Amino acid sequence: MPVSALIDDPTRAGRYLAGQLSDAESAAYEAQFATDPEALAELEATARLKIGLQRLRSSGELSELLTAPAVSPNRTWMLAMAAGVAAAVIGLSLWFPRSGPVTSPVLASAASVFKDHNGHGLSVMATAPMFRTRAEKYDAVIDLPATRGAIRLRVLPSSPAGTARYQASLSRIKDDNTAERGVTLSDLQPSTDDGFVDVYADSSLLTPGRYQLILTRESGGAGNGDSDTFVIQVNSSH
Amino acid sequence: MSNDRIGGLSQQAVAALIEQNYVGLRLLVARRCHDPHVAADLLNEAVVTTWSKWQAGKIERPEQIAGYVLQVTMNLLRNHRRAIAERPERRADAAKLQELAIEREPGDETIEREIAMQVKRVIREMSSPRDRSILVRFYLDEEEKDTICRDMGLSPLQFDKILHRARGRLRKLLEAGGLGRKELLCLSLL
Repeated sequence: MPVSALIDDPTRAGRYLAGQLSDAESAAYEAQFATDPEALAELEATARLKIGLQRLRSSGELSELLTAPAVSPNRTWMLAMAAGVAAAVIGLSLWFPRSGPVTSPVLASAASVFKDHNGHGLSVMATAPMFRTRAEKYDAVIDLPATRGAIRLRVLPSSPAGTARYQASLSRIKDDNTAERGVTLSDLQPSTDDGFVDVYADSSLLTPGRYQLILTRESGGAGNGDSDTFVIQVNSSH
Repeated sequence: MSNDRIGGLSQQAVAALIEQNYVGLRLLVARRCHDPHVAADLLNEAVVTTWSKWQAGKIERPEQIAGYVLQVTMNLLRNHRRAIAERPERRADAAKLQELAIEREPGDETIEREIAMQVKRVIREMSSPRDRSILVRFYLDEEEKDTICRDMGLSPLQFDKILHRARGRLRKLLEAGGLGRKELLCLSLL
């Protein structure tokens, strides 16, 4: 193939990473990296696609995905999400530990709910993404920060739906593997960007040990009542 | 401009920039090397080499420093793989080596899982099982475009359109912040 034909060829990044380009073609393509940010972005996106596909095959999910029904990234979902942001801010459902004095929320649907002694919102100190996996002992491991802050828990429903509303419950797991009475947030909406449901925990109210987070679909069509359970290991600050 | 900084970035900052913004390529290099430490060495060598070129006045566009580094990295990776393939004492061929278990950094597990979730979304949004299959055969199984087109009765143009749509969707997801720079900084705190 003439080197000039590689420009605007949507297969070139894939063929380059697969080692299917000739030396001359590879050299021409690589020379673009230093002059064309778009070529580099294309290569990075392709690399992530390959990594993601390899990972899905390794986890055994790929064959199922190839025949799964399509999920439409429709506009109504995006609009509903945008409109819902205001509702989420206004209708924050706070989750309080029921066994102690109700002075401060442990879990909230926005980090700004947590206030320091000056009344300022806490900064997000760490993010813990969570999605169902059979391979790991814990779905997330959180090292508590040395100073108080918000921990963002990003939870991916196993069957995400843009119009769905979710309930998140967090409770500590005792040594005998039973769960302590927990607290619950309702009317949570998934992110328009990636489908994750975000909740925030106050690091100062978490203690080292295991927690379980249960995400349940409250509304939004088929699958209401479906839930995903995630186990989180919380470690003390170093 | 000072010789120890490019566009206000130090040598360490350039390495961090690659780490944070080109995590897919870094992970792919690590997979190809089968050893994250070898991959880290290659990347480090690429940064040092690029830095030397800069100091020698051989780099025209310092704002594209990441592109230079990745260009060198891919060259080093190719040389590394050739060196392994040509070692007289080798007992396994390159294809067999690909099947070996890959050592990974613990943090990379988290990043890979998040990338996989994004790819999963892209696949689920593809309405046609045929299109999904093409994605897998081309990007994962690395089959030739001609072979796939022949098997599936596609014209080259149809094939290109399918890839273009899928890749465009993935890029939108990435650019929407699913695994952007800020996210990676957060992940590194865990």
